[in-house]
Amino acid sequence: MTDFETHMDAALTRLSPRTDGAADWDDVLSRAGSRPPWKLATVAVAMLLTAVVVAGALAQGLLSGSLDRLSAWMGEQPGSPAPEQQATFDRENAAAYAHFPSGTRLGRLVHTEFHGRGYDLLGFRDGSNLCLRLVPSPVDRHPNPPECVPERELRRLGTPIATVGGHLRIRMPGGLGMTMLYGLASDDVSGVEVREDGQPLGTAVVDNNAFLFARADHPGSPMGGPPIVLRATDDQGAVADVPLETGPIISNVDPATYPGPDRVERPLTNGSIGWLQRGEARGEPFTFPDQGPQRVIESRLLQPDPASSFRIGIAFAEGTAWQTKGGWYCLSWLWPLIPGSSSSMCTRAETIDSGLMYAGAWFNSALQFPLWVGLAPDDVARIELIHRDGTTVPVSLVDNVFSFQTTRGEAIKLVAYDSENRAVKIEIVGGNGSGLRGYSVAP
Amino acid sequence: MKGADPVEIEAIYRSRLVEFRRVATAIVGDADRGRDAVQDAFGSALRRRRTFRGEAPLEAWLWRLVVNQARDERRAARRGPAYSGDVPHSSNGSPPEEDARLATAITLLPERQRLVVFLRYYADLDYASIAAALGIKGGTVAAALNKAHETLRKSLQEVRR
Repeated sequence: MTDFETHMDAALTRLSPRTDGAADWDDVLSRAGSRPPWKLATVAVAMLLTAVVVAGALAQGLLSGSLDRLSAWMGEQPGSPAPEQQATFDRENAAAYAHFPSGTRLGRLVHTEFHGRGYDLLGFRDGSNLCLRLVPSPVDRHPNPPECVPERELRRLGTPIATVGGHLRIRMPGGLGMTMLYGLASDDVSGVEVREDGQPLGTAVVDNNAFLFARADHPGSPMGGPPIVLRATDDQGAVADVPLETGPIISNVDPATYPGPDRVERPLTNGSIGWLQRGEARGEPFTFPDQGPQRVIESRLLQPDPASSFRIGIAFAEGTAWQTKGGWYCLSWLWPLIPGSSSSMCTRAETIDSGLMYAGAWFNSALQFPLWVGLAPDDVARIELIHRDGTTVPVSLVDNVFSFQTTRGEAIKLVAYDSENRAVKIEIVGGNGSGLRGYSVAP
Repeated sequence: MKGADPVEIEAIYRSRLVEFRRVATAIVGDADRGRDAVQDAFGSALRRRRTFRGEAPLEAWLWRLVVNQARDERRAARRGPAYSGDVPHSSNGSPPEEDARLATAITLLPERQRLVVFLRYYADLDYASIAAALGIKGGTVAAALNKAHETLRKSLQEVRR
């Protein structure tokens, strides 16, 4: 493979990663037949899989309650018991590679009706994460993943509300659009109004420290359209406006001005993941999805962050075609409650020769609190994440795999250290105005 | 009129689904919409299977439906530049600046060159199949691909300066 072909392969993977979503011929058949039913189903599925938006900016105004005050989440489960949904949850949980701890209790937080269909917003805890899942009634045949947010990140934001999931201006049959947003609200919040371009769009249902908003809207790209602001109010009429972040997943940043270390003390060379290449049985067994141009030699299932139930399949593979000759490391995303792998990607083994490999995963471009997963070579003993505000957070690193969640629109700095506490790699995960990129901070 | 066998359509769908979705996602610029475009295109193929005249391979006819559906999706999305912001996944799998710039350069290619690149690289189609899928001549495919390579190589060299 020539240098040009290597870069073409990487660039094309950026534009459209290799994914392994299951075939759905029944869906094709229904689309070939009567159109309205599948359209509705598709919109609902897209809605549920659609990631969303994070209230990334600081609240402004008089209401200052923050999301560390969530009394509805203090009991066995948040909100009220939901036995039917609990049974479905337990069944899906048992069938997925990535599963929540047995005994996870979910509760119903908010219910709303839209276009003749009921929607329950369910909540539950996963370690140090708060999770929400929107479930329509009747239930769709396609399972949807929950959206989980680290409590630490919610506290760091300091806002009284945070949008966690939903979708924005999705197209519906007949040229209509729909916006649905849901999230968490602190004890102080009694109302949430969604505003577009300074004008009220409607009010959300608020209950059990959660909110759910649904309304017909003009259709358009989730990335486009006028700015959205969620206005939280309390019983005394105090107000906090929290913008909905709909721009790039990460923002532009000048690496030189970012807080934290800016000098590599010992550059990495010849990095690898020794245990995987030696075939050591770490983690759990895992059958990696067929990679086509790469033949999987060894694969394992890992939980990169003990505080989260997300799992990652990791493989060492060998290219089978002239374009792909050589060693590859492959990752497969495994979301709780979703059977099988949602997507996977491979990167040349040389990628971690001198540093970190990381990739973001989300269900579509409208999302999120993005989840990042990466690989570190053996020489890396620990990694820390540094926010723009200087907050430093240790990144969970298990068997060379690490993961972390960030807030949409905010670049972060990753610093990797060796066992002697020397910085061996410094990277800014940020945007450059023309797309997503990572900056290596020069030694 | 020959017509297409639905069993053959399903077989091609199942065996080439990953490639159909990658091409559609690349055209639309969004994984969910790309998936939708493929599902719609095959739904359309079943409805219109009797119009398939057998002048080109069935797979090429299906590629044409998928490409056209994805282009319609993209137009319907009324977006600006397809990749001005986010992609479904992103990584630092190789030198990021070069790959990011190259990815951007691909999205800025004229549409015909871009589609030829997508079908050549994602779907590994030969020139004749690409020509049949896009309704153009084989020579045009070769010329478009050469031109695209020239532009992209130049883009890569500029990054390295």
